[in-house]
Amino acid sequence: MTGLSASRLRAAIADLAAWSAHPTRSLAIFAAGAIIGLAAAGVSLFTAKGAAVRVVPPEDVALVNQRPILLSDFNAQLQAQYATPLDQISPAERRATLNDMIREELFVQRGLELDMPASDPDVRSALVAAVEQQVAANVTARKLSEADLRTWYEAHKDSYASEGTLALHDLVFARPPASPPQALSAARAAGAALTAGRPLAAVMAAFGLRESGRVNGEEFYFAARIHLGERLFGVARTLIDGAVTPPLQDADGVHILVMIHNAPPVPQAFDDAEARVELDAAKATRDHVAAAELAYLKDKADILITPGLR
Amino acid sequence: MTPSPTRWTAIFLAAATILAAGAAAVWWTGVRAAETELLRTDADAIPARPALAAFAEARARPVYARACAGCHGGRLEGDARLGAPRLAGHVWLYGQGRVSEIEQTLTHGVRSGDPRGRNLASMPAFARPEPYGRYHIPPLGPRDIRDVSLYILNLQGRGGDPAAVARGDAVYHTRGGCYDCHGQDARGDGAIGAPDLRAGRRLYGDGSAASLYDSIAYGRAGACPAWSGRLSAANIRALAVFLHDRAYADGPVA
Repeated sequence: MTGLSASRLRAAIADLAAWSAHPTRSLAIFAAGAIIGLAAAGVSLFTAKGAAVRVVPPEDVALVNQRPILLSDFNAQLQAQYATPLDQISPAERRATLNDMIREELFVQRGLELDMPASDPDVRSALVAAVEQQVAANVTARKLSEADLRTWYEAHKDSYASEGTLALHDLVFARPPASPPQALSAARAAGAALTAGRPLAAVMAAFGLRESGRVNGEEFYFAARIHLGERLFGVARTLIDGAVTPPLQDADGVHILVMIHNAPPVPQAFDDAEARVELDAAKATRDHVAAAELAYLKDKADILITPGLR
Repeated sequence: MTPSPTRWTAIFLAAATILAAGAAAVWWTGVRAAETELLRTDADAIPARPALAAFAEARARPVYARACAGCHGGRLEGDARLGAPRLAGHVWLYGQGRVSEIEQTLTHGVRSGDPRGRNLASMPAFARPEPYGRYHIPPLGPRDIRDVSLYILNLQGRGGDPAAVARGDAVYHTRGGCYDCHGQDARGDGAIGAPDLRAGRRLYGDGSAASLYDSIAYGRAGACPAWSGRLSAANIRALAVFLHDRAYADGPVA
């Protein structure tokens, strides 16, 4: 731009403006523009294929009524169909696959023309699922920051703990005593013997006790709760290693619990739980976005409901 | 009639504009031609064409930094806390490491919500009452999980109590159902993203018995976004070539 001062630039622009402001010239330029525009519009309007793109973009393998069949979809279809590396798939096989995909595209387009979503429940279900998945896909693409994850973790700390485990003996009478008071009395005596340190086998033999069979070795808390029932599990989870319970009356008789090992749930630090925190936080975000999407759709929709169902 | 100085300036400006536009058009045409060639060439054949692969790599580096490095790290080292696989090296969770397979993963993602994404299976949480959301499989006990962890470490040549390893072997091949995804030989299955358990490559944690226990007890289900619609087809292809070439930079697996 050496030697090109601002004043000379302004003068040049003014000169060009003066050139195009010539009455005949400007009219000619205007007329040429109008003719070109009208011609393009006429071609679009009066020919069957309009001003359609006639070249297949490189990311597509075909255009069907201007709808692309993506190269990535085509490659995926080839791999799924022939299960061999792409370079081992013959041109004939490729053409056959492409013909199938063109057929599918034509039928999809025809289905839309026929408004199939209005009448076919399978199409409706597929559309609902696809929209839900689209919401999920958008959320998955947004990586949550570590600050977001930590906030989530702090708010849901109770969820991030190991599953507790326990192993215990659940003792019942092999032959229940004649009356409940007798059973309770015998169970108290057995419990006292165990607490005093007598060997388990000796106490079981002396008092006619057996394992109930409800628990099977070391179990997770959730399994022990199912196997022992809420009442016995509620007591068991509070026992320390080696503790013996007083007699516990349950629907099937008197039980004595002898805790072998109890490992309550241990809270997980953020660093240990981060992968799970990310999954849970992403799921919550997906649910939130999906709910917001539904609220938005309802808000902008014109929904009329019959009086009886309002 | 001699043109005035201002007229000469106008002519100069017009010529410069036309030249600049022409140069831009030539540059753009060249880029588009290379893009077209990148897309039109069979994905798996690109690594054998050095010029095209170099074009792809140059194009992919900033895309990787923008889209992938947040999880997989600036040096493709991965993140074992999040289960983001290490991309340097050539151990593949999905497929055999062909460019077309990597491109497929990038395009549609892993558990991404994209219906065509890689979403056939995830690791059940065997310490939960219902370990797997999709269908019923029974939970395992704490000892079962410890035994299977030791069995896997043993497969990696890391010893272990023989009795526990034998019990873990039995659980793996029967009621644990581990063989169903990871294979009878524990070599994994690239079709569903089940890792090779013999390889000793860690996706999560530090590879200890405790971190294996966590994976089996509480499950895993890492995700990768579907980049289709967010990155151009050419960028996804370039990224796939870049990741393939980086993975095999130290030579292919024998």
